[in-house]
Amino acid sequence: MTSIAIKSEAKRQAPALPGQVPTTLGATLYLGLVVLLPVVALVTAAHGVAANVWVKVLTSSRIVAAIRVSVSTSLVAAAITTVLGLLLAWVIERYSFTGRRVLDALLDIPLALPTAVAGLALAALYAEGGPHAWLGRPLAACGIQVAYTPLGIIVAQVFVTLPLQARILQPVLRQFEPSVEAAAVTLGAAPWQRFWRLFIPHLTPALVAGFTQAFARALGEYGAVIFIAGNLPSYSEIMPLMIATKLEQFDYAGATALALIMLAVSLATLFILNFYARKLGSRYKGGLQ
Amino acid sequence: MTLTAHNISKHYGDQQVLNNVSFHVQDGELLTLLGPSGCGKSTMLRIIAGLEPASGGHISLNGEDLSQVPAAKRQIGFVFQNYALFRHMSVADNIAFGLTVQPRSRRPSRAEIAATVAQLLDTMHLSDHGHRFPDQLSGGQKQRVAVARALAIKPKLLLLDEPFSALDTAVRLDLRQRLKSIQRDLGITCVLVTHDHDEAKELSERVVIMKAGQIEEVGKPHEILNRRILPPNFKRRAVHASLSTHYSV
Amino acid sequence: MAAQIFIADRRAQARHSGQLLRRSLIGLAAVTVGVTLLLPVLVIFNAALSHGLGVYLTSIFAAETWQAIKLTLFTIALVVPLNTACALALAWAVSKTRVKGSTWLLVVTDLPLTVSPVVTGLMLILLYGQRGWLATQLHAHGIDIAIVYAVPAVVLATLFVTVPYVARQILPQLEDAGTEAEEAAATLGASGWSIFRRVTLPSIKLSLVQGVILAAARAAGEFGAVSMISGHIRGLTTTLPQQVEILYNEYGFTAAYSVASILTLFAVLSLGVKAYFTSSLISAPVPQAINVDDQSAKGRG
Repeated sequence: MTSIAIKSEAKRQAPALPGQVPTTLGATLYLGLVVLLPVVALVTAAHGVAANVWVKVLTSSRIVAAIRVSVSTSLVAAAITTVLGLLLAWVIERYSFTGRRVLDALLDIPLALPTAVAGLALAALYAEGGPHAWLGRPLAACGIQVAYTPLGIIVAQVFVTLPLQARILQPVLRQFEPSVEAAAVTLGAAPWQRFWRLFIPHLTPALVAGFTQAFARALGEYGAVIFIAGNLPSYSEIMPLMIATKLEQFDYAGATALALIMLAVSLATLFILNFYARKLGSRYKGGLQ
Repeated sequence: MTLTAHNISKHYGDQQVLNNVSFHVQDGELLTLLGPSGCGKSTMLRIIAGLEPASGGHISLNGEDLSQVPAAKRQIGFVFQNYALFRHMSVADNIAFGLTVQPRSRRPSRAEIAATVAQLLDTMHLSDHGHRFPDQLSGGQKQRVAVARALAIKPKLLLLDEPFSALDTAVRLDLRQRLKSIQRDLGITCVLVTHDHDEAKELSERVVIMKAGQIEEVGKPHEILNRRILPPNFKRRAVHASLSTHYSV
Repeated sequence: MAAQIFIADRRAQARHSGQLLRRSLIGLAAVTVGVTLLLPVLVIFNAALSHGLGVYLTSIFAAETWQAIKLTLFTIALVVPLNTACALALAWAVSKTRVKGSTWLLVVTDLPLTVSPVVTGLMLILLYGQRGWLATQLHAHGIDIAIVYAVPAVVLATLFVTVPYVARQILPQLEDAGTEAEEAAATLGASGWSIFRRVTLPSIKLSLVQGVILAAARAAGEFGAVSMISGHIRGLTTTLPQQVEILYNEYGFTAAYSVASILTLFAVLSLGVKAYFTSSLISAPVPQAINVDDQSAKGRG
């Protein structure tokens, strides 16, 4: 072994397992071509969008309304999903009952079902009338209109995001050390005290991650929403639809501008998910203390 | 506070883990449950704490049957093998936990809680670590926090489930002595579970030898354990034989 | 005597309320899933069959439907293996050899999950469209292939969208498993490829299958992105979800639902298969320590 080899070994540890370079290179190349290139294309194109187009886009009342509708419905939907997702993850991971596995399997429906199909079904289900208004008709009788309103948008968004939060929480719940909970019991903590003082702090990073992911997903959702939303301008029109409309009108510049805004939100979400949540999570990293 | 186990049995499905186990612990005594892994000693401890229900028999504390008392109300301190500290809380908050979850009517004032915590930190030689978090502590320090936390609620009984087995020898010996002196000073009734003979000898007045869910022997540690240098099922005849061959010419 | 009865009642109450809480939470969860997730599925099947089996079968076997099915299957066959290969390479690089910058790689992998399908469609049009960057480059060299508004666009869009699915299934398991088994194999003299094939791969068999199933279901169901770039050329570039939309817009409600039911069946089947494989992965719920309050009086201890 030459002295040079020794020096470089001391400086940089070769990984214990081989194949790092080809796999990393391959994955990076693939991801770069498939994922990054389109993103770069969008950013580059947005760079070329004239300033006056940006002004026109950001001051159009219809677009501002669409942004407002999209953001507000997504926030509400993410909040609802977080609560429901916690309920579902809790029940599935901590209780044993007949049908537990079935419940767990059913959670994947929104992931496997095409968004267009879901959109169709939800529109029919929540319509005020029609052969399948199983939920829409009774709700209308109570004075609540779901289809063609922002409420319908929220319903569709909750459908699509429900599994996301639950799936993030499940492993975290599973990893919770039973002896820590047993300790709290012996110290006299009631069940709700254990929930608030042990579980909620433990679950907070996962809840934040789930909320963020649900928000981003709801914001960008297209297929499930457009059938039930009614798409009335300034009322139930969402941002993704605005982009699609602009494309149909061949207003590439306008579409690009809007798409960049949405992409920015996506990237912000990603960073929150991967860096912040991971940092919080490392404080609760599993394993014995 | 005396503890009596009356004919405790426990089975999981077909598996019989405890079979008609009875013993009595005097007030202020430290009793050790000693045996190989799988003999049911930890299960016994969990049943006493109320963390698991017995399949048969019952536990009584000072004569009072605990069957209807849920674990959270038994006021029995429990120290776990892997510390089970609340990782998102500071050391001080961990120790104070049992006091802060009490119903308002019985809860001590904030000042009283702080005083109790400070005193326990001092007793366990952790006074400089109150603001730290469990991840920043060594194994020995964590276990001391666990003991302090259990003691904070002024438990009627203290249970320790192999509390030192995850620690290295020097720390183990040190903690053993601390535990012994604390137990003497407070006069608190203790049940300790271990597989370490030396620990049993050093800490307890009486030892209960368990095997396969049953009690084999009860008595003073020195009497029993000096007889039992070898594992219990090692035939004495074999020892005799090897000794005689060694000494014959 | 009366005092004792009172105390016994209170304890029974406490026990009972523990059980009550549990039961109501389970019930609430079941209702949530039933109303939110199950009802839409039922609507599809009900609507598809509402005019009888005959009409249903006619819609299914229409020529255009078959074209759409073929395109969807072709896309799945191309997209899923490619993304799986990438996921496996990524998994090796990140969790076994701990390459630096792995967080960035994971960020890029997760990107498609947070991007709206419409934005995806636009990005691909900008990149591969007639006036896009790639087209201008190729044109300069005299190559003229239509990507957008043709089958390749459908494949590219689906490829983008399904990138994260396999990776997200296998990575957590690989991270948890650590590198010890592989390192042991290395000390025994196995080559990298050998270790991967005989130690790593078998350890993630189930997660891999689940990831592939989810990726395939997602590929079949992709709507938004494909819808924007395929040009809706019926019989050529329509996937099944698009066929659903086309039929719906032409007021062929029953026909739309019939085609939708194919996709739903596929989805339900995938879930069933996935659940079958999961049954050995889901650990039993954490017992004992939790439901202590209502158990301590069940036995007598």
